[in-house]
Amino acid sequence: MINVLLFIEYILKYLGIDFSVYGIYGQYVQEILVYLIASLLILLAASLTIIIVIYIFRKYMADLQQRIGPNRVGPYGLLQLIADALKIFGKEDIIPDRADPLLFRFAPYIVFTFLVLSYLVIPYGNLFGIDLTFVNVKYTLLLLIAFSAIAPIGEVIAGLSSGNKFSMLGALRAAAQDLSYEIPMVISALGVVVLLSGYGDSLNLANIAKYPWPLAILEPIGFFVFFIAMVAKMAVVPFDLPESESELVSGFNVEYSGLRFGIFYLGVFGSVFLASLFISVVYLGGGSDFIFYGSGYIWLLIKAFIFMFIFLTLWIALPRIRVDKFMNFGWKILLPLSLINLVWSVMLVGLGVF
Amino acid sequence: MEERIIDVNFGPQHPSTHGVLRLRVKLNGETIVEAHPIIGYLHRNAEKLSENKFYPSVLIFMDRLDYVSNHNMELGYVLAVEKLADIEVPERAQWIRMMVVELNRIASHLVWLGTMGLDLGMITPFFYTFREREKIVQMFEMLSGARLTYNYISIGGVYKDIPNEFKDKFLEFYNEFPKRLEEIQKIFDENEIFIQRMKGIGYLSPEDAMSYSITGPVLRASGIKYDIRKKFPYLHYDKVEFEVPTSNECDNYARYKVRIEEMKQSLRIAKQAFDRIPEGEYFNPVYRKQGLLKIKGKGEVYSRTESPRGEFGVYIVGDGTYRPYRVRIRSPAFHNLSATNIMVKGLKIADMIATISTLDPVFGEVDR
Repeated sequence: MINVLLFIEYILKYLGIDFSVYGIYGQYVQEILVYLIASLLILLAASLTIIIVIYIFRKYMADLQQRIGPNRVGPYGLLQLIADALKIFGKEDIIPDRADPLLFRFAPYIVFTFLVLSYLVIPYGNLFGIDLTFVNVKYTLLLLIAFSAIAPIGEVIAGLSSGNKFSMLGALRAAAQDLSYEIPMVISALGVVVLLSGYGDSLNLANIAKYPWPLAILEPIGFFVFFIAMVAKMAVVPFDLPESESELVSGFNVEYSGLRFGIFYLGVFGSVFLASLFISVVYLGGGSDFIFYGSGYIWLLIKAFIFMFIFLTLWIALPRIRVDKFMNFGWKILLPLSLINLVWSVMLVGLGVF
Repeated sequence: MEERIIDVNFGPQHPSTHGVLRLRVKLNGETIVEAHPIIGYLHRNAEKLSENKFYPSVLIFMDRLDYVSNHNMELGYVLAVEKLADIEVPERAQWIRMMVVELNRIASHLVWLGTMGLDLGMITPFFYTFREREKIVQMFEMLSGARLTYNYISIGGVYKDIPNEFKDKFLEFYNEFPKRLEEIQKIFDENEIFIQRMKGIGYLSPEDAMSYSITGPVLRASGIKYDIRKKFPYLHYDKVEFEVPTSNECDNYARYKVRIEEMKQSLRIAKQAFDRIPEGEYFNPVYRKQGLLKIKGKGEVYSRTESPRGEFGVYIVGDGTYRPYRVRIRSPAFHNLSATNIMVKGLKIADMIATISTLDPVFGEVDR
């Protein structure tokens, strides 16, 4: 099993692109080239995933609502998203007078950049002998949590810099929501770390994902808390409080139009799939090989898609929870549950059961 | 912590104001300190315009008042004119009117149910309720040829007779609708979040409801059994069997429950009316010959009918000419909306939206 970065390096050498023959600086150039290609690969994959998720969402939602869904542009409406993107690019990019222009411009990119960076950290498992782990440092779990925690900050900046009362309320909600799910999420993920402490670096996602059996069976409480936190992290119904269309018009992004709005829009769907990947890596064995050698990547995708459909179904079927109820839920139910889960994991390890 | 109260302007362009409601809201964080509805954005001057029209021509304004339950609006005006000019209506027309009006009530409540879901962030039930409403609208299209402004109930009877295909369509709807309604109801009632969002929110005490002259399902959800169809029967409401659903909870959930029950009762009335439609004329033969434009009236009349939103009153003063001297419309949604402030004070923004949606305002009628 070779790492994907090594694999890219081999391919470059095979193609005759080799700067390392020019001495030490050439080696640096080569390394940077490899990283660049890997990052581009992730960017492309992430964008493609988002497009696929949006298409699936539209068709699936239409199906549940007894509509047809996109069916005019291209075969089966596959090109509808491209048509929408073209429309969005053609729109005027309005920056309101009251807005802080620099932060207003900057905010969507914060959300999207850290979304793509989070995609970079996920270990995608084994695909026909290639280990699709792009970043393999010791603390990738912390890195992923940190990256995904920055996205709501982008929302807060967007809301506060718009100079609109609705978006300000949306930003306040985003901040409040962020606090109330983030802590239970981290603590319930800590349960897994404790549980796998006997198996090498348990803060490394690739190492967590190597354990082939779903940890959700051992830690049902932690899994539950983590699942809820993931739904909250995506900020879609029932927890789409920062956006809440029927209350705050469009919440933090109410003043955005054109390309910048498009980036927020893509960000939502990107985070849906990211959450599905995240939960399958941490709690369901991620991209570990199962039955066939080299099939880990495919298993990961299957798990992630199952979760994605669950998330989308929640999105389509449920009403929105109220802000204060969600805060209560986060602090009074999820947090104690995640602590219980932590104690449970310590007990499992300490008693030698695991 | 220092309290900072901000003024926020909800609407008139806002996704969940059911048209063009504008609310001036004073907010303390997420909590509402005051909320004042400001109306008039859809004012079309129906009352004044009516003074320059012949009696039958006024009907088109009535059609456009409450564009969700047009038949009910027409009926209110038509009954008033018939009382004023002493016009006899054939039995067949009366029963047809009753059936049509009750079907319209179901359609109106279905629109309300769907949009209330939207206000709570539920997108899907909206499509289910509109699917059911579509069947009713198709029936109305069979009767009148139109899908929105029917102009079907006319002075002296109804505009056209029932076509033959209508019978099957109605019976199919009658058999299928209870099942479908139960399905839709399940989506709401088996949802914990929905119950949490509705129960105990938007309390309207019976005393307040009476002092704000609130009528219709909102009043009945506050525990007062007042239904014009029972208290002051018009058409043949005294000859059919139905119950008036009430609830003592006085909250959003009660209003939801009452409206759901009302749909079931409406279907019951519509079926009874459908079964009892006699053979005969559907339009007053005298007026068919001489035309409706010759209607004259002298005096004052007030007709009250139970529209899906409450007591719809039409007050007409005739001065003996072909045109009404004054037409005054008592709009139920207008009165219901006036209680907004006392209902939403102290609630969160999300609850305010839900509460207003359970009042079910339609702005064509509020602004007239």
